[in-house]
Amino acid sequence: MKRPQLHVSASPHLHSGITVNCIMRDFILALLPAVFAGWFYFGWRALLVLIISIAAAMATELLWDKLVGRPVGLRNGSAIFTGLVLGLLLSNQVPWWIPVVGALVAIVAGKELFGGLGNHPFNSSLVGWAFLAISYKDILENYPTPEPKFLLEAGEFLVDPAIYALKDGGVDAIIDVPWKDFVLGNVPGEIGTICVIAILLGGAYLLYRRVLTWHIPISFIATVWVFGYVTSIVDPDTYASGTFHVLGGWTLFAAFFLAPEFGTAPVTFGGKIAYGIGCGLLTMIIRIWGTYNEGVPFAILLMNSVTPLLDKIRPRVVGRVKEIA
Amino acid sequence: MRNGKKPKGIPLDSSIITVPKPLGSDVKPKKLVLPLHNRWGMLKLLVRPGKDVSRGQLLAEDERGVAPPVYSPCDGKVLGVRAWSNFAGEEVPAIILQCSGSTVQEHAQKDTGAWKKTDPHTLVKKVQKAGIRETDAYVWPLAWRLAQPGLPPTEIPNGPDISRPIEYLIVNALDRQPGVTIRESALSGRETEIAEAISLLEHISGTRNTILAVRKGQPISDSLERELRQRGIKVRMCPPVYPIALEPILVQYITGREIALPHGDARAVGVTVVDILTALRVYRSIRDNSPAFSSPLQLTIHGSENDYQTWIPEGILVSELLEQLQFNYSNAAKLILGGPLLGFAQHTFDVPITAEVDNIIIQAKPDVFIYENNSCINCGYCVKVCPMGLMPNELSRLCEYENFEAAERQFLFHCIECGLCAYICPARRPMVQLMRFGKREIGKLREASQEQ
Ligand code: SF4
Ligand code: SF4
Repeated sequence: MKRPQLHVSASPHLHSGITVNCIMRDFILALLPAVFAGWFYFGWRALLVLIISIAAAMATELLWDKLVGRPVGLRNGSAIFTGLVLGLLLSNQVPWWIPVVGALVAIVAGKELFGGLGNHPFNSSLVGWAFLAISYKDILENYPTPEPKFLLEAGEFLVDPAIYALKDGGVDAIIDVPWKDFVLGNVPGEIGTICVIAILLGGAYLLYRRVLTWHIPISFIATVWVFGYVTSIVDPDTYASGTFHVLGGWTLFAAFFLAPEFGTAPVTFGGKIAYGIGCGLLTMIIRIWGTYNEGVPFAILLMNSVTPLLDKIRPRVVGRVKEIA
Repeated sequence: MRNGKKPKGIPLDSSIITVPKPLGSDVKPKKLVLPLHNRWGMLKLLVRPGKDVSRGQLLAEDERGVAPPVYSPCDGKVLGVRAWSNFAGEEVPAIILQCSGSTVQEHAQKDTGAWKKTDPHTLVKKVQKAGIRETDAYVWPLAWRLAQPGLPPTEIPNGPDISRPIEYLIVNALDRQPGVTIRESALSGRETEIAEAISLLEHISGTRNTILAVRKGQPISDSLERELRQRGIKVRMCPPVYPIALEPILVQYITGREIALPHGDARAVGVTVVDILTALRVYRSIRDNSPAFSSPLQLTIHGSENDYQTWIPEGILVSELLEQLQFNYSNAAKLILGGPLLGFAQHTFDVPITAEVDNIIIQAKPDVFIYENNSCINCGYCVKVCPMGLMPNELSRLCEYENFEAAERQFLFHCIECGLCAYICPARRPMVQLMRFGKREIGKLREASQEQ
């Protein structure tokens, strides 16, 4: 009988079946609750911003691949993820060209210039966002009050995002906001960052699927909480509580969807913990004493830059001769 | 595409395992191919081509007395010596034998118990002479790992350090890789033989501390338990997760001792690991006073729908074994000798099966996994799974960009090529291939610098 040609490769001859596409699909699925919340509070315009942002990101990646002569194709869905995250960080009031510019910068300067997914030093969505925040500050900071589609009444304790209110008005400005509003997301803010429940749902999904490990999100959130708790004990009239700092603003969204981005975060156990703590500390320092309102984005970008250092906190190698003898 | 939960390691007791069918026990090969080279050196041929040989005749041996010798598993004629691809895909010189008559003797002989009165040093020499090749990549042949302090089977310069008594003798009855069940099945149905085999090893090694490592959840028959208890052999349940059965990891799990890598000599920390199948072969060889020239094999064709277990004569070609099964080649796309995670893919079906191989897999086209030369996305999954505490992401990149010195500084040689990083890598990078490439290139550089 004629024998077939045999396929030859190095071992192993099995694979878990989990590919980059699967991971990106999981990330996008995990963001869907936040997308839903965005529509629920901010209406169809919010979805339009997201769609423009995703489309612009995909188009940029396609064009870039053509330009540099890489095999064209949205190879792994990472452009969708970057575009989606960027869109979720914007207000639904931005003009159409804002997400386009943001996505362009995010994909080109944030990712492709460095060789694509996994090789970029800074969180790609945040690079796009930071560019917008610095260039078009006033256009970005136009946050409407949410108008829930059904069931809820519009939350009316705040007219600005909670962190902004805290900065401008001190603790008194936010002390009366019911926790319920934070948890449900019934406060002014960006499309994707306001609804705590939606974000936690997505985060739990990522942890359950083991796409992410717990280290970065938990150490990040815990640090923010502890920092807030300690400062508010020291001086409750000046500083908001730890719970406020966790629930208000970008903390939770960033802990699950920004800080752990592959390529920009450390991969070792110790590195991840240190990174999470660093993100938390910087967030709080900027929020409390910095000039920016929201400390999260610049905290993450700063920590991204020390990721290679943090990766030096290595696991113990098994079988090192010197240590044994 | 499966997208299940990522395990830490891979479960060993996977439900894919079916009851293996026995393969016709009377395997009558027409031709045998016996490689003359293995990890401990080159063997010297003792017979001239064209000569008739008889079953059990010594065909080739290592002049230094280290590498296990080769015996003829059948009556027949030496056709010649030719370069032939071995189980690891290397071209090595091999004896080609033409067989007349049967090879495998499966009927058990009576144990006269003579070995109990023989002194360990004589027995260890017998082990060395028995021609036992093993599945795991141990640094030294079995005889040296079993030898009592100061009594090596032969004197060799720069030989292994056996000054330390064997404090633990671990008999490994764990199947090494998912889907392989041959050790587990070996435990049932031959309780006395197993117990005697372990006692024999204990006698040779002079240890008081013998441990049988089995999978947690593996059923152990009452009679085996009784036999073991009577002899004072402890049973240790191990978590059913690959790569628990690999030597450095098993030793660390059971004894808490760490083998110094990259050399990886367990004997230096007072531990010897012996595979249960090897133990059986040693026992039979000494009981029957004959070399070990048959070895147990599991053959898995297209998933596990066809799973066979049998004892085969060493040197039989895969193609000949398949012929006996009237195997239909049309779906075969990959032939793997040595298991799903550690095995070697072959380019031909005419490859001889030696005792280094415990499992042969034939994959159909849809089961073949294709690696891609993608760049690393730095997800860190590989760092999480590496049992040696390495950073495979970094190592693979260093090897890819040929920065070998840096790779070596990052403990490239501590990699045991378990394959977990490649199994988990979502970018489908050929991790083990990159590690092997790095190791090989460093080896070449060293040789070059020594020659200067
Ligand atoms: S193959 Fe090597 S680097 Fe990869 S997981 Fe196994 S020991 Fe670690
Ligand atoms: S698993 Fe693959 S893609 Fe992920 S860090 Fe390791 S080598 Fe890179």
